[in-house]
Amino acid sequence: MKNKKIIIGFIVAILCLLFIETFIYLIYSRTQKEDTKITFVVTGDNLDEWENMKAGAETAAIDKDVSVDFVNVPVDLGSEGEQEAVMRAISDGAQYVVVATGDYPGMVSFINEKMLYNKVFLAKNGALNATVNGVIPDDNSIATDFSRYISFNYSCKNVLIVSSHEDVNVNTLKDSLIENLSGKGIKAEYRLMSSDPSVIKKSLYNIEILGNYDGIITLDYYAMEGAASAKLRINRDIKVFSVDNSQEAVYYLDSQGIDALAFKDDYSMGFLAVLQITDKKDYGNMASVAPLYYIADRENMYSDELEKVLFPFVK
Amino acid sequence: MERFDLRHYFHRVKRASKRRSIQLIISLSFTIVAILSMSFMAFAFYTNYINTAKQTAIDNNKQVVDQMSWNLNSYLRNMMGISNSMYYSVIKNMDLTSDTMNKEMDILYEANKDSLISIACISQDGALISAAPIATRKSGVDFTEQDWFTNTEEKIENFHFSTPHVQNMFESSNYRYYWVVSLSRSVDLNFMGYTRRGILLVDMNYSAIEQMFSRVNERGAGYVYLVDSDGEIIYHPKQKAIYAGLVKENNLVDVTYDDGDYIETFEGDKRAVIVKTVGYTGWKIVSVVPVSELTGEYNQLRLFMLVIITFTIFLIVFGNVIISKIVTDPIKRLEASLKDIEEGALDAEQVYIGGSHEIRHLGRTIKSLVVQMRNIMDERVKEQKEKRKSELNALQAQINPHFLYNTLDSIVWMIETEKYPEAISMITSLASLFRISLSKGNNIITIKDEITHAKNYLAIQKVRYKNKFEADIDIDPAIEDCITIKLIIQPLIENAIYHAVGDYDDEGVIDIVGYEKDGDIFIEVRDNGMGIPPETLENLLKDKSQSKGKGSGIGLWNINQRINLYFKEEYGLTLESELDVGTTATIHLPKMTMEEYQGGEGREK
Repeated sequence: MKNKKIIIGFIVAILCLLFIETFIYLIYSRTQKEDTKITFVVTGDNLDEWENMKAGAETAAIDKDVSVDFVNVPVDLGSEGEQEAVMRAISDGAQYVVVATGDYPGMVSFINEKMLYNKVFLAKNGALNATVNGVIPDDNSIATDFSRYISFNYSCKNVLIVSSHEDVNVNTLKDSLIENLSGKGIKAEYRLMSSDPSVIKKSLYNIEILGNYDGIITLDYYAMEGAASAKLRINRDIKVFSVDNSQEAVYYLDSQGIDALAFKDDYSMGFLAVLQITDKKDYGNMASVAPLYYIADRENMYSDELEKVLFPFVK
Repeated sequence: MERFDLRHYFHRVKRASKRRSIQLIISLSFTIVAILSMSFMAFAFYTNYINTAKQTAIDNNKQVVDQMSWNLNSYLRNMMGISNSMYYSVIKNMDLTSDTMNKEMDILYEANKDSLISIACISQDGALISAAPIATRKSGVDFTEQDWFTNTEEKIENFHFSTPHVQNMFESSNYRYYWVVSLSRSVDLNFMGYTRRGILLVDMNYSAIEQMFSRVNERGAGYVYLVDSDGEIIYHPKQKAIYAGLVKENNLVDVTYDDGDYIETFEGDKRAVIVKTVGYTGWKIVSVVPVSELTGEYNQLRLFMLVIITFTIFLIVFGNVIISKIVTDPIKRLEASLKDIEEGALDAEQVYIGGSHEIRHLGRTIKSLVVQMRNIMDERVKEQKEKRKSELNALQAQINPHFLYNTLDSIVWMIETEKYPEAISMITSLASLFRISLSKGNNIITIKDEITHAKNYLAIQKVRYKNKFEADIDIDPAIEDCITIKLIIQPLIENAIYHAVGDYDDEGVIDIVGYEKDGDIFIEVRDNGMGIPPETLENLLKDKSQSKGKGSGIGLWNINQRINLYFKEEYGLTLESELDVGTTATIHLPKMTMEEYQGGEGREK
């Protein structure tokens, strides 16, 4: 009787095992690993401006079963446009959204209001100590390093800091630059320019030609373009320093319209933004892992280290 | 630490198997052997299959790398061909004081502009002699400080291939910069018969190389990258991430490998690496495939194999159980038969004969043994029974010498007192008593004869006891012709006389009643004596084979034993007694005539 029970038990155990294995096999056969969809919502009229960040995100996505797509929100649509793009991306099936916002406070309050902390992350623009996770370069560090670089390499005594708009990044940079330059004996003042590019160009041309300042620090694209083109036209010995990462800025650096450039590395930011999501780690403070910005001048822009950052690979 | 003792475990298994059924042992042993063999085979086939598949994947990658190498080699040879054409067909035959090479350079450029960014000839002091397409030299740029220039100057006899870099030679108005790989060589420039050294620079379009590799890397399984002879990365799908320090590559180790395939471990991951050197340049194409990806697609196969193996094990176990059941069932049934025999059921027909030839033979042999045993036992029982019958009959047939002496003394007395008729009657009764006692040696007589015997005995005893008791015999005539064992009523009467009514004065009564009830015959001998105490009554019919003394109840036990021996156990003698009332001895016999008995029905009853 006991022997019979052992045999029956054995057969039942094998049958159970068989059923479990078949079940797992069928489940496994049907399961197709779905990619994690990450949508980058970036502000700007031209998506090409974000090619570096896109390249970084796509490279990070290669081994991570992640699909990445980019949506650009024209500047005119402002904060509402960004928020609408975020919601649309989520409704279109994006598990995560990375936003390079043009309106940091607006986006943060939107995320808080909609409680999208685990879905929406920030990249590039914003404050480092944000309540929302993101990959954001430390503007204070940029300002500190840039101030040190200027004071060490140039003999500027009177510097004008300009921008065509104000946001959290511009304000942080401005305040930190003024503080750091003053600390090094350089007089620095800030002036908010017009948001009209042609007006900025004229204003900066006038400022440069008047010669009241021996250095100009631009904090955004339009200010950079105005200051650099003015310098090329006037050919005066005024020093132009820019915080920007556009290809135009690199060109002006190469053609002596800009003397030094603090360049935020969009590629690394895109790469880390994806990694932050897939690895479930907070890469918000990435300075120890990878530098998110570089300071380039004409002497080092073709160095092995910087040319890969400043000049994107041809795709 | 305890030593693994194979013999010890073998003995343990052997001991354990003694407690298990043969079916379990057969099923389990066959199953274990089958599973082990199957697992071994499955493992061998699977390992072989995986290794072959791995090798096939590596071979496929090798083919891809070979193709890549061929394409790249072809591309680089084409570039070197351009350089050679420019040098040997144009520059060497040209006096640069009067001629210009712009036209020929443009033609070569136009013919290869998909692969080229520019062709340029630079003098030894860094002056731009000619370039195609025509471009303005970038101000402030010193060519002599650039790597391609210094490398060429170091070894003037060779072609030099640079690592990818951004071309930094010409003005660009559209913010566009080109990534190039520079092919440079030292050339002799002819100025009115004087030869001066210069450098011919062919800037290859890096995107051509990138596209070549990108297409291969789109396959998905692993990736291919390109390093120069120093391990500097020329192309990598994650090149920029590597430069930014976000991703690491084992390029400095991989470049040390000779051409072939290797398995290496990098950052904890095992990966298959295939290395192929590209002709003249010393560049190496490195294909990397994580080993997990080589075998990753076999997870489903592994699972499928596991299901199949489990299913096969199930079939084997099921089959083994069925087969072992077929084999062992006859053995079990035979064992059950033997158990019955062991318990005393010596019925040959119950011995199971079935199953395989050997078991059938065993069954038949056992059956034959059982038959023989049965016969021997029957014979022994019969012999014992007969012997017992003889002993009991002999015992019963013994005439009490006192009874004979007293009877003869009474007859003598009667003759002396001239009571001749009484003497004659007594002698006649005694003669009849002896005649029936002998019955020609038959132990079975009719009830009629037995009653006659009892009457004769009573007649003699009545004379002897001077009619101190009355005896009444009432036998149903219907049973008179039925048989009985002889001399079973007389001892009961004798007991009634000696122990009950013999000492009474005209008050003793003995009733002998015979009747049929429920198809059987009952003969009762009742007396109105003092009765028998219950404790005595209880022991009267118990085994007295060892007792021989008078008064020990051996006569009653003898009657009962004889009835049992001749008929079934259900027949025999029973006693009922009540103190001061009397005792009744009841003989219970099967109802059958002499013919029926002699016809054999007696054995059945």
